[in-house]
Amino acid sequence: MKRKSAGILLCVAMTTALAGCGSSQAPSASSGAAASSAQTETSSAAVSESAEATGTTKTTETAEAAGNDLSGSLTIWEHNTSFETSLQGVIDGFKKKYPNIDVEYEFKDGDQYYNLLNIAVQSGDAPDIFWTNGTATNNMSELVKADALLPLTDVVDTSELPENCLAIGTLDGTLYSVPWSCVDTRACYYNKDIFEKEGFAIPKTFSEFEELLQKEKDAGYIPISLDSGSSWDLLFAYEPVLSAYDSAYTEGLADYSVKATDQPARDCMNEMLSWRDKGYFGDNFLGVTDGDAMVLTFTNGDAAMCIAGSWDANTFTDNNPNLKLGAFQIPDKDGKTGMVGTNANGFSVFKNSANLDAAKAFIQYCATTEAQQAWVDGQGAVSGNPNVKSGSEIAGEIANCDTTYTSWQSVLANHAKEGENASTLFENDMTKVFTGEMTTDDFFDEIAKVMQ
Amino acid sequence: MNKKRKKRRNYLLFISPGFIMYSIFIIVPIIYVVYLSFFHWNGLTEKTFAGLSNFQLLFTDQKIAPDFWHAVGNNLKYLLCIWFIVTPLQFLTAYFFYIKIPAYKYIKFMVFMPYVISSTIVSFFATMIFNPNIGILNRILKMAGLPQGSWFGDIHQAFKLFILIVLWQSAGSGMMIFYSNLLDIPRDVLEACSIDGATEWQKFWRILVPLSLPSCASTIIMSTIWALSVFDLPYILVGSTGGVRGVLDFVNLVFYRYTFGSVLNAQSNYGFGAAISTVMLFVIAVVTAIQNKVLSRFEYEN
Repeated sequence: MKRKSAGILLCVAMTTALAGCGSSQAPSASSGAAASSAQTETSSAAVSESAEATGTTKTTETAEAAGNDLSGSLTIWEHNTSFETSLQGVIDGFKKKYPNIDVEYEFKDGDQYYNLLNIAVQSGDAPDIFWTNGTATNNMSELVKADALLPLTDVVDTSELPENCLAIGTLDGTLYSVPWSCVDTRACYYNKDIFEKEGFAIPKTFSEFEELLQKEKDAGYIPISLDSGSSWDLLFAYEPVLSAYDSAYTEGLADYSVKATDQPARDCMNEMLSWRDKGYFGDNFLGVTDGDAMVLTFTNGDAAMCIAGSWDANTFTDNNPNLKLGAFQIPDKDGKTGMVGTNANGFSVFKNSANLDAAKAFIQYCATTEAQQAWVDGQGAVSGNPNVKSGSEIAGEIANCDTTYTSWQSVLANHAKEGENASTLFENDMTKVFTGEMTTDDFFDEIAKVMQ
Repeated sequence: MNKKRKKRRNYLLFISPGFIMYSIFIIVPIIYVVYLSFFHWNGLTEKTFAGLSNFQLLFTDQKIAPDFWHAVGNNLKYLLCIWFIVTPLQFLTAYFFYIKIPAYKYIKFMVFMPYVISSTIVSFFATMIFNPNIGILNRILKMAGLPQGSWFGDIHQAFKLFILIVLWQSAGSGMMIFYSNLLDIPRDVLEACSIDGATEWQKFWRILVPLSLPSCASTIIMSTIWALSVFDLPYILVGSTGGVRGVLDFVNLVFYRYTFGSVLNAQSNYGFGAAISTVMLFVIAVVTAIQNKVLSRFEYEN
């Protein structure tokens, strides 16, 4: 009887563990000092800061005074450590203006980010400032429904940001986050040393690209480093390949004159599956289940290329500072190149922040050209703002193309039927297509059912 | 009569601190989980009553139900491996140490060491060995001119490798329980057997095995709980999707995906997660009850 009770108690404890599952520690860093308020002056301060950044020498004493008066402490949450350099750059700039505000940041890396954020919001202990993916996913709108986000339309002066950048942070005409004016794009990265050693050339057409894949394989390299365990990593490879595979179709995604599940999208997926079968992602591609292995395979020289996000450029060079990194956009059959890009979203403010004035000052600072430049520099990113220069040489290579395309995934997010979410289907099932668990047609058919 | 009541009151006094703490931290959360399973709740907005729809979704949805039952099947398969492969090997290892094989102290230390390493680190080691691109195993095979594998990407090998890693990691825990139990067996019983002319095999089979059954019961109970709640190892080895064709997809991974991973309607869904937990509570209770029934035969009076 005692043992029976013990067994039942243990099983009960397991269920309790299930109930309490889900928390993680993340690295944190802080910089700063202490004390309170002056909202109206904050905006003028930030505006004058941006004036400095754009080369205007006009510095207002009132702005400096406002910066010195305002105090408090801020906690910022980001979702990925690859943004640390950028975030630190922005905080450094902010601290120069507001030396009495403590700023601490944490990375909640991995797929627990929104869960942790929701729990923190619900407990009333959310960070003062945090990242969401804006309108690209429905998390920001859920937070708006929960009345957790401070409306920023009347709080932030967005005059220094291009109008088209703001859309990703705007819901029903109200601004809820300040976007970064850089383009989150994808690119085909390549190892310049391997290309030089083997005499490979950057392809001029799509068929040349496919020939290059075979040449790389014949030379003993993994042509494209990719992992089979993350739908997002697969997506960031699929989208640029799709734009090259059928550029006319991809152009149609912008105005939704073509559907995301039309035949070219399916054919392109099948083409990539044939690449998988030819070993272009490595002979043992199915065993590579995480993004870190994908990155390491490329940076240690086993793979000649890696198709990934523009934000990964820093990760590659951090992994191997000696890597001679190059990037190009895959050309279509006629040699036209394009960049699949989405605007990058930035930070929102927790409505019930205990440091609301400091948070408003920070979010205003984010909207300045100075902060935007710091962010783009830190990322080495492609600028989407005429006043902000692209962050690095590699960004120039990424942006060296003829046109820009709309992301296939953003079409799923923006054109699903009311109450449906096609992005979820892609997120759940794209890996299944590449591992052979699901056919391409089944995958696209299930998405088609929930699309407009 | 009053004395008896007083005595009862004393019992209550002794029981109550433990009972209250246990109720607060164990019973109440379980009741809350069961309560939550009848609601839709994303953790942010108000809960809305859902009746049995979370359970209906779990058992009838064309995508979710096969995922869930496949994962339950994997858990049970894992459980059988624990019962019939891992536990007997743990006992055998303990027996080798009991009969003091050469260098048994060193080997005992080596066998027990992986147990004190966290599952996360064990998974990391496994990744460094078995990852087809960056793992050391394929590099060695390549240098030796042998064919390489995708290991955890191969549906025919993934589960076997997983059991191998579990065996490596957990052999120490069960082994120590068995070993302590073996040391507890009175020497005079074994000496009497020797005098009566029993062979080593007879001593092993007729004396040591039967007298180790109580510790076997404890080991199996612990292993069962572990098998039904496994999460960290497969999560780190193959990710939250459970690997190729869900070969390492377990209920806790399904729970994680649908509760926190935004897989269901692109948002956290604690109500649905609670429904999965409630069903698993029932499954674990049934398995534990059957197991206890069987294991009660292992008990003996000293």
